[in-house]
Amino acid sequence: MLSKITSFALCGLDGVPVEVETDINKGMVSYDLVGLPDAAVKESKERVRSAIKNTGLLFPVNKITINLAPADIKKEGSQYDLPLAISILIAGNQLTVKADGTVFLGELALDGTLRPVTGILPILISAKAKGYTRFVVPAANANEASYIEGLTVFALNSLKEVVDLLTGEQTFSPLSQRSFKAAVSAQKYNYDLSLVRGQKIAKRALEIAVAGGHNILLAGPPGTGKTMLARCIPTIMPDMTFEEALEVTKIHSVAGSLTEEGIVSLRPFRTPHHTSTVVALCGGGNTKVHPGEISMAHKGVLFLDELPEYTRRTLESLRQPLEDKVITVARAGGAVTFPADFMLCASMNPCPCGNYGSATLACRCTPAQVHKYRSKISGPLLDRIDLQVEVDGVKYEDLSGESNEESSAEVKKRVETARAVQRVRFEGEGNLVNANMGEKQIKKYCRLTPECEEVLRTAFETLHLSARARSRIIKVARTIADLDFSEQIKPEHILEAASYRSYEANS
Amino acid sequence: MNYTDEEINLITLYSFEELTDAQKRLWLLDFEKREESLIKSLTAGVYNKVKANFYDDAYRGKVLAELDKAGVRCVTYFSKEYPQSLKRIDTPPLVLYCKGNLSLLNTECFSVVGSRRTLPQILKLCKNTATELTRHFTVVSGIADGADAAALAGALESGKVISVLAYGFNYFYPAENKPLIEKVAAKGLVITEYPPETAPQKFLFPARNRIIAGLSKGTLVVSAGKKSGALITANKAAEYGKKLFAYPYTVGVASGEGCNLLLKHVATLVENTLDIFDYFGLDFNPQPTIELSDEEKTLLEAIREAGEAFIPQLAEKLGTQPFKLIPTISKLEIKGLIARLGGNRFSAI
Repeated sequence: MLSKITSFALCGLDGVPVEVETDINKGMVSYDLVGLPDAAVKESKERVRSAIKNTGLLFPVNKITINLAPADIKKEGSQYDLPLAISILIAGNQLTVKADGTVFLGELALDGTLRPVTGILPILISAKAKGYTRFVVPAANANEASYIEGLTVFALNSLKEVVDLLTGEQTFSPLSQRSFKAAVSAQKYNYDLSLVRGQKIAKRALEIAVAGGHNILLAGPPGTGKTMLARCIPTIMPDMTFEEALEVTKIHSVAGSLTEEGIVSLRPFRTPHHTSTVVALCGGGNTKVHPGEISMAHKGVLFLDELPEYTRRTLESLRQPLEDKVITVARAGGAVTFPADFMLCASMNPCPCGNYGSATLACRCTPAQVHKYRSKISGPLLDRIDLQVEVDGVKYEDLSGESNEESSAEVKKRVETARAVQRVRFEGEGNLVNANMGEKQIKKYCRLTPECEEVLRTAFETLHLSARARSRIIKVARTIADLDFSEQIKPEHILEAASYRSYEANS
Repeated sequence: MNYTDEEINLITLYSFEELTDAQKRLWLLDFEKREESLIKSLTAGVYNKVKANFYDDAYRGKVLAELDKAGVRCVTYFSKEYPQSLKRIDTPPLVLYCKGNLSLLNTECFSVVGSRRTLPQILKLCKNTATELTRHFTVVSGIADGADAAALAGALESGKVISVLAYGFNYFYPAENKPLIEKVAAKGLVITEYPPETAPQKFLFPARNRIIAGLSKGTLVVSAGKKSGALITANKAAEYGKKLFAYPYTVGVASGEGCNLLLKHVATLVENTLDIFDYFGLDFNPQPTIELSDEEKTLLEAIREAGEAFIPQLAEKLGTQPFKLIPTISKLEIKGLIARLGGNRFSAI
């Protein structure tokens, strides 16, 4: 007899329906699995055989032919175990039920229990768009599967339960929809700006950077708290909307790095080590394309500690995604596009020994060494980092001021106000933040008074700024003016913006 | 280029890499003796090569053509452009390979030298001083990073600037300063006593320093560690009876130890260019004072008082938020009154 069961394959972040067709005939005992299965799918045979046996059912001793359609897409991963088992049971007449329209996903253990699989959320989203509404998924994926409304999802523990569900021997209630708000309030960041003492200037720069969506470079001697500051960036970013969270969760689901909660409600903070390769950063893989760190940092922060230590090739590979906010990874099996809308935060020492410009320690580097160290970061990359900030080289203990450090929540309020201003400004233009302004928009929204023009001109002449620094300064000045509730960019905004460019000037 | 026979003799002589400096110098002896004593000093191999080529017109033509092609003009001990100041030192260079404005060689020169590791605020001061010095002097320096480069940069605009190299024109050292060498050659003058194919070597630099000292009426040492090459220039200058000047430093600044040492013994203390012009009896109208707002005045005063200060320290002192000071800091920086030292630290100039 012939049976057909629906499951899904993952192509990048999209789910593609896969028909599992099983035909059982009399003849020499055999088991043929066709339709471009990869190793994990081929091995499913043994898992399915044992799971069926240990559920108290019979694995047919006949000629079994299974086809995974469409036959031209590579089938990877372990989510086909469950549909294969169900399909075999139906084809072998052990189950006389109809399972049309239900999507089965799940890996089987030898004893018949269901194990979690990756990519449930993106599959559900794609399946919903294609009109599928009934799903059977492993219980361990329940949280992830319960955020999408309008679906009937059964999260079950074993093959036995699935069989019972189909035959109606037992009744199961579908998952009730979880509220995203509850998930947001359940998760908290581990860091807060109030934990960083001093560093007022760097904090101010972070506020500007987040408010305008600018990328930022923190430079300063070792041990001054650059990493700590960077870790606070997500805490002052506006909360993610449900749509953003779903987008991020899709990526993390495909990468198999979802937590118990089942949804990523906090802005991601990724810190790839400086030995990371281009593939690790941008995504890739032999057959199945995995999202890279820049996609994992989608809607969050990509923190590159010790920027000059990264290989040039790695850094240059960031240029295009920084511009396009997506990365297309092309492999022999096809091209996959992952979103990569992240805020780049980088840190570096001022020189190889780290003491350049220090108040107390002498720098041991020759000018040529310092030059070489800094020139590792190419102009085009620096171009995309609007704020280049030096962290204070002074020890907090050396300042006697009373410590009233602002909490992240207070800064976040100001950031959200500035973002609201920008949302109104760019209504209908697609790009939501100042940092994404093109030349045309700069002309339109950043008109400078003659006084400002004059300030900018003298700043350029005396501080030896490059021509490309101009639009960067104007964009940052626009954000500072937004934080200041000022419709017009004022000279002091330009002056402040001009001071956040320490590593471009010939210092 | 047109050279006299004597000039060509010297240029040809200098083209033999095998000859030592002392051997080349024998050419300065009386006409009758010079060939004889030179021949005596040579080993057989070198003698044969020199003999075969020295009076060979084809060889001479080739040497001159190559220099011409490279845009190098030679000024020899016998040339009328040769600087009189150099004739008064013990071992004058016999040939100066030049690129640029030769007339600068016989102007009043003043050298500004210092260490490669010079504090940022001193670099700015050095640059300003060099600019002001060009009102009465041609500024002479080396080409290294740090103080030398700052002095050249300051004097570049006026065109009254000479850079003395310690290697031939085929080389650029440090390589990053190639654009600077080219700019000085275009607007001022670059000279060296070494033929184009001479590579930079450690021992050539002290020898070069004697030319810097010899050319100049006075020498300003802007920074010098205990073993800095700037001290070699200073020693030579003192030996030649030139006047020495130096910036004072606080105790404990490594890049200022040499300066303070000079100040203890021979040098005159310099705070601004006026101190130098005063010594030579030259007049100097300082630039018009820069107008400052009250805010700027208060901040500048606070920085002056502290010597150098971090922005948070200043904010604490003035009772305000650090970022509120940033626009004023930028204004002062643009006006050239303070220097950025790294780590949000600033110093008055």
